[in-house]
Amino acid sequence: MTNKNEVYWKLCCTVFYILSGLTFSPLILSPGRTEPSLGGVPYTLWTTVVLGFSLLLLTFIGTRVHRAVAAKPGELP
Amino acid sequence: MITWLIILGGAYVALLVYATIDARRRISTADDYVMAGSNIGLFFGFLTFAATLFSTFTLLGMPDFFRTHGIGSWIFLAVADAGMAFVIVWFAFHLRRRATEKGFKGVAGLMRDCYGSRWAGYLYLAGVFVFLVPYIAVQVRGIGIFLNAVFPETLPVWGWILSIVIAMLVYSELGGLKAIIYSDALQGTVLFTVTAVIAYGCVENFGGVAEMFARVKVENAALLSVPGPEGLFSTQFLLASFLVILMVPVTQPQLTTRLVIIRDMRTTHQMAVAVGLFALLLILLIVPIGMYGAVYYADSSIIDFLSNTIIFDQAPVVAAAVAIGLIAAAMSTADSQIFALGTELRSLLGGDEQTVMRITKLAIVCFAVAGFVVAILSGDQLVMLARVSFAGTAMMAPLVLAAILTRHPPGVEIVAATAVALAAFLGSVTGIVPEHLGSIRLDLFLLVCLSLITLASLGYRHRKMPRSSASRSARSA
Repeated sequence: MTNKNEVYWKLCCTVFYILSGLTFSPLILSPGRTEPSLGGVPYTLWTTVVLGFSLLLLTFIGTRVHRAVAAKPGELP
Repeated sequence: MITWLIILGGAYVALLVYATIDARRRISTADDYVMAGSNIGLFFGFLTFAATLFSTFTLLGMPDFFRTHGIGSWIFLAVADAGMAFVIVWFAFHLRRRATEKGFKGVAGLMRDCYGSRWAGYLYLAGVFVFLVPYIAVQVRGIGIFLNAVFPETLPVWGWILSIVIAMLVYSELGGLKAIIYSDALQGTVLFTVTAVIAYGCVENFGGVAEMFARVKVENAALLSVPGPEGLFSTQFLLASFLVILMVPVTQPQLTTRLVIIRDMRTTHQMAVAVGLFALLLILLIVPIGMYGAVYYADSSIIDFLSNTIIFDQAPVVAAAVAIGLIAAAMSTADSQIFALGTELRSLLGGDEQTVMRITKLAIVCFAVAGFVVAILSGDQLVMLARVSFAGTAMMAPLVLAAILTRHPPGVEIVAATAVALAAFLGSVTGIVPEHLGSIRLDLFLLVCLSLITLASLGYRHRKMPRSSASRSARSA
């Protein structure tokens, strides 16, 4: 694993913790809150849809920087 | 609809038979039978993982969850599944490396080898048996009740359950894991397609997404925010669910095994992203089905809501595809779980390969019978029972992670602590132990305690190790 990849992967992990924490923070899970809506979609739903797809994008980035990418053929499990 | 049912049902059975024969033709060793040759590509790897993860509860349980508890259901499952995809990227690498070092016949065997104690393997097997069998049962029961409601003249509930269990056993016993993977691929495709068609119809019925939520607001505004009308989606419930779903690939053997048998690490990573995308899109499609139910079938029973929404309100060809898709969904998840239980038992057995295979095949039949018996006796709360299964097996996450991430054998105190936590959680499910400790959920409390005990045990043993071994062990983690 190159140093650069290691840093990027740790950065991905940090962003994962931040996004997960944000999902369960009062900013998102505010009881009874439906506004501001987006295109008629209630607040908690559209914000967590954005968070869900952000986690997926992060997963994709994670696969590009994970130590498995830097491994030579035959080194991977 | 009957005509379409015969046409689509015939096509499904024909494909299943073809897949079973093809899979059987390719079996030449026990590893081919149990591990599908450990060479699964992206297409089948992604579909088998997705279909195993998303069972009957996706199309039967989740729409009702949205209808009853509102949009918090999205956080409960979809956000957790997206997080799970990230966990797969991290966990699969360590799992595959450890599997390469120790050899992999099943997670229970791997636990025994990593801990150097047969009790670790026995505990894992007991844990997955206790928490997977009810999950298997509730799926086949759910589909049995549903099919009985839609086709009341055809078979009684137990008749549908028995037919599904027998069909599963036939192709699992004949074609092994490869036949299961082929059937998963078929089911995943059918499930996603029919859900998309029904969801489109629901949105179209309202005249658009904004109009749909506006109608729901008039009917029951509490559905559009957390904690929902019945107060289920508290932050604590959602957080505990998030953590246990993140741990599903770590602790549910049917999914852990799939991470090992995929061709290589890069394919596994691609599969993780594909599964995450599949999960988000599929659950997004279920939102309008639930909202449709909240407006048109708010006071109906679950079965009335589902049979009307996904069968009787649909065009005959879609209704027939739904019925086939549901049967396929129930079979594809339940067969994977039953087969995984057999695989886990095999990984703990020693001796002649032919005898071990004979015992494994017999055990698969016994697990299926156990699933059938529990299905006849169990309740109808699909999603909640699925969650109990996830939470129960999640108690073993620290046990599994300690084995996978450390190079030296972890202490048996982790095994003992896990046994106590499993017993306590089982006690809470059966009502012997309270579900809450003060204001804290017991499952969350147990998970935190187990994690701390595991970390303390690893830290203590790490300090006692010679310095060179300790640094090697730390690097490997």
